[in-house]
Amino acid sequence: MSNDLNKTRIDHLFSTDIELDGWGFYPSVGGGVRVNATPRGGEVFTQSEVIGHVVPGGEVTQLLRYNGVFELDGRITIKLNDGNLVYVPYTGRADFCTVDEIKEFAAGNISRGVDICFASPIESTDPRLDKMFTFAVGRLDDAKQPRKLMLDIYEYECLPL
Amino acid sequence: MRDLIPYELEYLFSYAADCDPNFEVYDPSVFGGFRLTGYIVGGWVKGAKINGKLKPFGGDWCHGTPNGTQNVNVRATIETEDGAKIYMPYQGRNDIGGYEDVLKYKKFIFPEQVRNAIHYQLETDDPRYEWLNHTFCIGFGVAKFSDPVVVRYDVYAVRIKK
Repeated sequence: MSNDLNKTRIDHLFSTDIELDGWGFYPSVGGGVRVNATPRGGEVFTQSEVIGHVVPGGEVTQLLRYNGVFELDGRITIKLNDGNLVYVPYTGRADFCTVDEIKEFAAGNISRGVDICFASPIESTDPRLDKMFTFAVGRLDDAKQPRKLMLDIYEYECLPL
Repeated sequence: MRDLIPYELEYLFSYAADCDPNFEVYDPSVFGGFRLTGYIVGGWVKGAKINGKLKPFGGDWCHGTPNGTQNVNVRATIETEDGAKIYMPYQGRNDIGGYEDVLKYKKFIFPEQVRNAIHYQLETDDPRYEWLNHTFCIGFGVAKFSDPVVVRYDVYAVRIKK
C-alpha cells in the first residue's frame, strides 16, 4: 500500500447566519447539560450572493458532556431562491470548557461563544445537492442562550485513485 | 455576507479494514433501498498520531438509497501499538451512480471504485489519547475493486483557527 494520502476535494457550498431562539437550558439531564434552540431564519449565501434563507423551525441542540465537550445534533431546513429545499440534519462536536467549569456553566455563572464542527448528509429536492456529504465549521454566539449560529458548509469527497 | 471562518485540517492517521467477503444484503421495503452489511475481521492503522490495528469485530451497516448514494454506518475499534483502545464509529456517504447501479450493487456487482466522505467522533478512555474525545474528524476513503482490492481511508482533525 502506498504511503501517499488519498487525493481530495473540498469546496465551499454555502454559508448561513442563523437567528436562534435559545429557549431551552437544562442544567442537569442524565447525559450532562442540555441547551436547545430553534432556528428563526437567516440568510444563506455564497461568497458573491444571497441564494436562499433558513426556514423557521427545526432544532439546534447541544449536550455538554462531562468532559466539557458539546455533542451537537440539529435539523435545519433551507429554501433556496430557485425553490429547492435543502434539509441539513447534523451531528458534531464543540470543545467548550474544562471539566472544572462544567458546574459553573450548569449554574449559569459562565458562558461564552463556542466554535463548532459538524457533518451532514444533506438531502435536497435539487438532485445534485441530494448526493453530497458535507461538513461545517461554525460559531455559536453564546453557549447558554444562543441567538446566532454562523455556519460555513463545505462539500467534500475523495478523488479517484 | 461575511468572510469564511478560517479552519485547517490536521492529518491524524490512515487505515484499511479487512472485511469478511460474505456480505449480507437486506432488502427491507420500509425505506425503498437496501442494507448491505460487511463485518470487520481486522485491518491496519498507521499515521502521524495513531498506529495499531483494527480489532476483528464491528462492521458496516450501509444503507443504499434509490438515488445511487450509500450512507455508510460503521462501528470499529482500534487497538494502538501502545495498548489503547479507541472506539471509532463513523458515518458517511458515497455515490455509486444511479438506480441501475444500486440494483447491480445488491447483486455484488461493484463499480470500479467507491469513494467515501466520512466523519468520525472517536472515543477513548486512555489518557494518552484523551484529546480524541475533544476532536471532530473527517475522512476520505476509497475502495478499488481490483485484484487485490485496495482500500484506504485517511483521517483528519478539523480545527477552527482562533
